[in-house]
Formats: sequence, C-alpha cells, structure tokens
Amino acid sequence: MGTEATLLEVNAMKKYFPIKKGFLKRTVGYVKAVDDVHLTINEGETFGLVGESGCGKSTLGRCILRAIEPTEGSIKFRNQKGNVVDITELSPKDLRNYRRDMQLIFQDPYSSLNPRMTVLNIIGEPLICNKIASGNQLRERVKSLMEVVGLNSKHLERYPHAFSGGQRQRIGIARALATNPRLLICDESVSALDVSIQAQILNLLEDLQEQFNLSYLFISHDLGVIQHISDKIGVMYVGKMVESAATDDVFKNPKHPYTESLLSAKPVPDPRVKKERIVLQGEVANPANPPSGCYFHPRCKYAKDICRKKAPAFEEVAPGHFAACHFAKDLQLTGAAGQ
Amino acid sequence: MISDEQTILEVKDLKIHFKLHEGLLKAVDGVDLSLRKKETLGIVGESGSGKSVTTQSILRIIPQTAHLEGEIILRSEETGKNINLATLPMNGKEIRKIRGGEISMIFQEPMKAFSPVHTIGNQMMETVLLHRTKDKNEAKEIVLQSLREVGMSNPEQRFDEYPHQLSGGMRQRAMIAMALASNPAILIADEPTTALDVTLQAQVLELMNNLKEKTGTSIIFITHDLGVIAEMSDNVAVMYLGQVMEYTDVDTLFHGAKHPYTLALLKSMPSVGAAENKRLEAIEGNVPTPINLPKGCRFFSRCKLAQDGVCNVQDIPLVKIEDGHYVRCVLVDEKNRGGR
Amino acid sequence: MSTGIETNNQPPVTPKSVKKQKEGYEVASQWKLTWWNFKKNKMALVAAVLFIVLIIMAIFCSFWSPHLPNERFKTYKDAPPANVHFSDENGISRPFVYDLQLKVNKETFRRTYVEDKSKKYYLHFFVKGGSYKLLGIIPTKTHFIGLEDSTKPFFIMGTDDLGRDLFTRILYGSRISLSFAFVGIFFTFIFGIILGGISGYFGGVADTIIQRLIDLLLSLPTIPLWMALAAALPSSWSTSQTYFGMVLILSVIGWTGLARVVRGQMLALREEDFTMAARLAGASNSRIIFKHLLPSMTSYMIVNLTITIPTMILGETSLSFLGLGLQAPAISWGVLLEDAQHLESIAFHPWLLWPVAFVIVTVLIFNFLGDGLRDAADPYKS
Repeated sequence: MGTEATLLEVNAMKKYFPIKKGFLKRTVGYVKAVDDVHLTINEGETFGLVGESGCGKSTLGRCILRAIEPTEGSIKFRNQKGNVVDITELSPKDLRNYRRDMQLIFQDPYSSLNPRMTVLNIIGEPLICNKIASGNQLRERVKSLMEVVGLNSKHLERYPHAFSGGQRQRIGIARALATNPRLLICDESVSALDVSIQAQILNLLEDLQEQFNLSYLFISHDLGVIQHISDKIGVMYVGKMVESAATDDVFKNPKHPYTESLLSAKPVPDPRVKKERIVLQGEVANPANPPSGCYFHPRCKYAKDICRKKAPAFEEVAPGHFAACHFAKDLQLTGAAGQ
Repeated sequence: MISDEQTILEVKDLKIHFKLHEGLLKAVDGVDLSLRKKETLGIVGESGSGKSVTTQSILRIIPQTAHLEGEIILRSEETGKNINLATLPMNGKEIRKIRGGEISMIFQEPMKAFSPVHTIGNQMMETVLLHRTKDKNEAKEIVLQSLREVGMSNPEQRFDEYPHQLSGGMRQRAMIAMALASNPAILIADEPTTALDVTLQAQVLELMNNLKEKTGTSIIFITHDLGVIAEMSDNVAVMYLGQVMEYTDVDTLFHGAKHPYTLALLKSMPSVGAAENKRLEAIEGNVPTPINLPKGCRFFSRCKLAQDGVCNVQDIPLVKIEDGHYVRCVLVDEKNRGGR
Repeated sequence: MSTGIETNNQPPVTPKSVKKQKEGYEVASQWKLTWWNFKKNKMALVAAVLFIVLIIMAIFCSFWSPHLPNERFKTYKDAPPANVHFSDENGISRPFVYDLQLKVNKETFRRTYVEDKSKKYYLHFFVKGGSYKLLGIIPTKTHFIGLEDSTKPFFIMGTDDLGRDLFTRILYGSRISLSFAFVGIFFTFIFGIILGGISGYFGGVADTIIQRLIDLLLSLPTIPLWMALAAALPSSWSTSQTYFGMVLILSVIGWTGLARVVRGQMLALREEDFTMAARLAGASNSRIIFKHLLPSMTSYMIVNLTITIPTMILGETSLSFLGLGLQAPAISWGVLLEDAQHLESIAFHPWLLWPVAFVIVTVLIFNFLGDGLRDAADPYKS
C-alpha cells in the first residue's frame, strides 16, 4: 500500500454480473459493471466518482463495502492501528468489524430509513448490533450524534415521517457516523434534495470531515457537486475508469475526450457564458455488449483506427494524472467553462 | 406584467387550493405570468413551489378536488379570440381541443406520455388527425417529418415501434416529436431533462432550442436547475411556496437579482467553475408546508434579511422595480423607492 | 412539507403526509397512523364494531341464548318464529308472548300453530333456565333473556323438526363456524409465512418448487378438491377430529394467497435501502428478518388474513351443507343449513334459512373490515 496516509487502495476491481437465459438459467454472457478499476483514497480526503447512469460507479461503491461481492481484485484498507488488511479476504465475522470503519450514505432519504422505527432505533442500530452501547448510554450517544448532524436531540422518539427530506438525510448521516467510521461512501447522497437543502448537506459533510478527519468516496453524476467537494476525481464510463486526477487538473485540463464532453455538456448557470458545446451523439454503450477497442470510440470525435481495435491502458499521462486514451498526451482538450 | 399584442398566454391571480383534513393547502396562491410569442419563460423553484401545478392548471389536468381561481387567458391564434381556460369545463370539448393542439406538454418521464400498448406512430397519428388534418396519408407524412426533425434515426422503423423498445433518450425525442406534431403555439416542458444524464440532457436542450428557432413555438420551461434556466430562458419566474418571488429577464436574474430568495438560491448552488473550496451559502431550515401559513412574506422563516414587524405584517405584493423586473419583497421595494 | 425529491409532477403534498397539525403525529407509530387512516373509513369502522359484537356473541353464546341447543320441545316441533307483543288491550305493555297450540288441518294434514291468548308470558332478563357452563368453566343457569317458565315457547327464530330452538342453535353454531375460520386462518398463516418466506428470502430452487406448487393448487377446481379430500376423512373420526381435519384441508388449499403476499413483500423489502443499511450496520440475518422485514409486512398479512376469513367460513358452510363436513351432533351454520336442503321444508318452514343471514352478514363484515384495513395498512406509501 502506497504511503502512510493511504486509507484505501482498490486494485484491479472487477464486478461481472452473469446474464442468464433460458429455462436452465445458463450463463450466456456477462455485464461488466466494474471492469479493472484502480483507486486510492488518502486519510481526510474526498475522492469524487463521476459518471453517467449505468457507468458502474454505485456498483463500485458497494463492492468496496462488500455489500456486493466483487468478482476480482483487492481492497486494501488501513485500520485504526495502522495495519493493512485486504477486505476481499475477510470472513463474514471479521467483515462485520471492518464495516464499523466504513459506512454508506444513501441517495434516497425515504427508502433508506425504516419508517417503522424511531430515530433512536435507526441511529442506534449500528451501536446495538455491534454491542457498543445500550440503555441510557445508547440514548446519550444517539442524542449527541443528532446534535452533531444538526438535528434537535429532543426528537429522539420521533418517526421518520415527521422529518423533511433534508432532515432525513441528516438522520442517515448520523447513523453512518455512529460507529466512528473513517471512510464514508456517499452514493448520490445529495442528488434527491432541493438545491437549498443540498447546500446544507454538503456543508455538513465538509464540517464533519474536518471534525472527525473522515475520508469520503463521493459518488455523483453532478459535476458541480463533485467539483465542489472533491480533492481528487475519477471519471467512469461503461465500467471503466477513464480519467483520474486532482480536481483542478480534471476540470482545467482534462485528458480524456469523454471528460471533456461531460464538462462541456453541463449547463452553466450564467447566460453570459456562451460556449461551444460538444454534444455527444448516441447513447452510453451497453455494458453487456460493449463496442470493440475503446468503449468510447463510437461517440468520440477524435477517434482513430487504433481506438476501434485496441483498448487503451489506464496510464499516468502527467504527474498524478491518469487517463485511458491512446491520445491523452497529444490532444489539447478544453476544460470547464468559466475556469 | 407586460401585456401587449405579442402576449399569447396570460395568467392572472391564479390560485389553486386543495382542501385537506389538516387545512387548506395553498399550492398556488396568486400567481401572475405572461408568455409572449416566441418567448421561453423559465419557471424555477424547489419542490413544493407550485411550479408544476401552475402549468398543469393551464391544461386543466390538475385533480378535480382542486379549487381553482383566477384567469388563464389564451389568445388563440386559430380563432383570434381570447379564451379563459380557467372557466372551461374540466373535460369539455374546448379544453380537449386545446390540449395537445394549441398547447402541448412534455414531461419528465416520457413513458407517462405514451400508452404502452400502441405504437409510437399510431399515437402520434391520433394527435395529428385530431388537431391538424383529416387525411391519413398527410398525417403519416407529418408524423414522419416530426420524428425526423427530432433526430430519430430511421423514422419509418420507429413509427412501428412500441415505447418500451426505445432507449431513454429516444423516448424523450419521441415525446417531443409528438408534442410538436400538432404544431402547437405553446409548449409546456415540465422538467423534461431532470431524469436524463448530462450528455443526453445536452442533446435534448440543443434539440429544443433548434426546434424553437425553426417553429417559433413559445415555451414554458419548468426546472429546478438554474444552469438549464440560464441556457433555455428569455424570462424567468422564480417561485417559492406557491408565489412568484421574482420575475425578470434571464441576464438580470444571474447578474442583478434583487429578491433574497433568488440570491440565496444562486449562492447555494455548487457550480462548475465557481471559486474553489468556497463554503456554500445554504438556505437555513426547510421548505414549510403551505398550510395555514402566517401572514407576510413566504420566505420569512428562512430569510437572512427578514425583519420582524416589517416582513411578517401583511401579504407582500409583487412590485415592478424596473421595466420587466418584478420583485415580491418589502425590503427591496423600500430601497428602490428611497433611491428614486 | 417538502418531499425533497425533485421528481414529482403531482401537487407538492400528498394528503397522507401532512397530518402535521395532529397531536402526536411526530411520535406516532405505524399502528397509530394505520388507525388514523382506518378511522376515516366509516363503513370499515361500523364493520369493526359489528365484528366485536359478533365475537362477544360467539364467545358467550350459551348466555345469550334462551335455551340449550339440544333441548327438544316435543310439543313445539317446527314452530314458527315467536310473535313478540309489545302492546295489549290496555296499550303499550312490556313485551310478552302467548303459548302456542298445535292445530292440524283435517284436509291437508298441515300442522299450524295458533296463539293461545288466555295467558301472557312476559319476557325477563337474566332468567333461570337450563344449566350450562359459561365459557366451559362456570356452572350457571342464568340466561340473558327468556320466560320465567322455560318450558313455554319463546323461539325468536322458530324451531326445527325436533323442536329445538333455532336461534339458540345459530348462536352455538356461530361459535364453531367462527372458531373454525380462526383456526383455519391460524394454519393458513403458518403455511403461508413459512412457505412464502422460504420462497422469498432464499429464492432459488425452493422458490421455483413452491411457486409451481402454488400454480398447481390454484389451477385445481376448489369445490371438487374439497369434496374429494373431505370424503377421504374416515367416518369413524370424532367430531373434533373431523373439525381439525377439515380445517387442515381448507388451510392446505388456502395458504397460497398469503404465501404470494409474503414472498412478494420479502422480495421487495430485501431490496430496500434500509435493509442494506441494517446489514451494513452489522445486523444479523435474524435481526433483519424480525426487526425489519416482518414488521414491514404485518399489516399486509393482517389484511390478507382478514380477506381470507370469509373463504374459510364459506368453505365450512358449503362442505357441511353438502354433508361432507361436520356432522350432527356438532352445530355449525353449515350443519344447520343441511336441514334447509329440501325445497319442501323451506316452503313450509322458511325460518330454517336464518343461518344464511348470519353467514352473509359475517362475510360482509369481514369484507368491509378487510377493505378498510387494506386502505389504511401502509401509512407510508404516498
């Protein structure tokens, strides 16, 4: 594992879902939802994972938690004592201990809270299950967690239906914080919220990061949110990581044509910025039946013969800047407007 | 608001109330809007702002339990007469002729607009036969033409396909094609790109702008995304809790907005290209339920500038502060009067 | 209230989600919310009250009934329903009946009863009559209503051909018919939950087998299947053995509906985010099942069971009516209706059809109750 500061290192992660057909449910092929992805997250850092729907970013997040079993690859995680463990090799019992260090914040603040449980039981669940606290101790701990995320701790006995979307998301965050985790995976955690509420939650996440030295894997389709919150960014397309670098590098100086078109497609909230938009033609490739060579070549305006034949390697094209494009070093791509 | 011979749709003092067990839900409470020829009017607001209900009431597709008040005047190009849509019988002949004819609508979820058991072509034919021509061959030509215009590959084949056979982006295109096939004077677009990925959204927005240039259709574009507003609109109405808070042209909205809510909304949005690592200025609190709201400004409970005894005394009117710029805020109003 | 989700074209607020003003709304549990919703449905509320009345009627049937179920009044065979008088020659009086005298028409040999107006027998509450054990424990002679002289004719719904009071027998029958339904539901519940749960939670081969079994059971015509199975019960069995035998037959066929509900819910809930959240919180399988999945399903199960009860009652009634179910001396509504099989007896003694009225009312009660519960069952869906 890289350096002392590295918290998580994902190597050659693959998740293939079998496609079963016919009466005997024979496997006729695979959907390569995540295909050979590498990423590292340092302590106290936010890694933003961006891509369009179906690109495998959520699957990747859930594989890291082993909420779904990855097909191949290693997930190295540095625990509190500084020992490095490969999460893919853990037994279910050990895994439970490691899950205390890693939690998930969901997208939908409605379906992620059991409507039949009080806030006390929802936030307290990880404490009860891991036998960390009970009785009065549990109440006190839940109360302080509620205050940390900006909820009124008097509302302990209330049910989720008494809270608005933004408040529910805070409950979800409090639950995730209950076991003092070190890595939070935020899976589109602000996408379902209104703009004004979204800003509240983003600010809260930033405050918590500072307070508890948390690391985030922040999954989102919204480039604005990703740019705002991330230190590093990974761009995914059809199960593969196509570009990864520090936030500024990606936005100012993209190295992959797909990143360029994503940046260009995002509407700018300023009518005075008139930009030449690259409108991608066609739609995202089908991961069950991807095109040959580089998966992006049918939509890429820079595509050449080699792109159709050979899949590009994910390589360092500038210091700390990785991209999977045959011409990453040669192309002069445009960054985000207004930069 | 401006009302001249260019105005084709005018909404005056529109109120839509729902009677619930818990009290009167004022989903829309005194909204004025006007739409001119070839204009795109953007309506922006968070959930609960009443933006969707407002536009649904124009086509009278709100639930029958709703209590509707006010005027919705359509200056019909076909007949040259003014029709008050608010007083037409809910499912009467007149409103059905206007729906999908002079005014059509596109939705966030294209599957809602299509019936799953008929082909795309047949559904579009139906609209065209109802509103444009009685000749079947001509109707088919019109349908194929509009499928071509929205950039559907191989329209002859798409004509015979069912909605579920199309991909997400293609469905959105088909819905736009259907909405435009009847050659409407007004197109209402209710969050048409919210469910789409950015690259598809870019395609659809580009398509809508091109079609607007070509056909001169007026558009009412509803969205919560200020970026989309900036790209699509000529004028913008910012709605909050059933009222228009600010109405102005798009440039002023982003560079000279006056209402504290508009300003807060702009600041709370993380945007590509914004200065890095700047903390977002979130709007505190939650959007209240529009039931039994206290007197005064709707934004009072969340406004940083709110003054007790000034903002919560009486209902605030929408005041013109410049030509084409209206604001519903006592503080702004006073400032401007003082300056004059 | 903001729904938070930007994707709604509906009015911003759904009625169910804005009970804000209500006292204690924030801390109201699932059952409280369900009750609030249920209360809005007046028909269901009436059905709920009647349901309670029905249960009390069945449990204390021996107390409510004026006579004993097997007590034969030899002089009053096939007597018509009593004519209760509320007024006499002096105007309004407390209710009373006259004695009945048998008259045989000399030409047609038809037996009719005429009132013997020489003496009035007044109705009394809490009269002494035949001795019985209340709830099977407390020996007593007190009946809720009756005549001082319990040998005199007070037959609210007439008597049968052996001179037994039909009203008394219907009340006793309700005990067996209703308990039959509840025991049946109990077994249905067990079969449904276990098989549906296995099918939904584990999936795979077990799921396939159980689903095909359900398809098979649903494709069989019910009545012939019941008849075949009921006919297979040994005739030497005692009443209680037959009773449980029949309950099992009806449950074995009736569990399919519940099993499908349970399976569907399991499949849906397993994918819910909150189930995943519990798993990530370190919850064990059993905690997920008992704390998250089952509580989320109970309301659906209750609804399904309520709707299944009428099937049970009708099943018992039909089988007993056909002579394949319970047999006399057991008393159930179906057994009582066996007497009403002949056209002739209905023509001359139409009061023998009274049990039908009870069956209909009971089935309606459960149907209205089920309707109300179904609408109120999930207070969280918008």
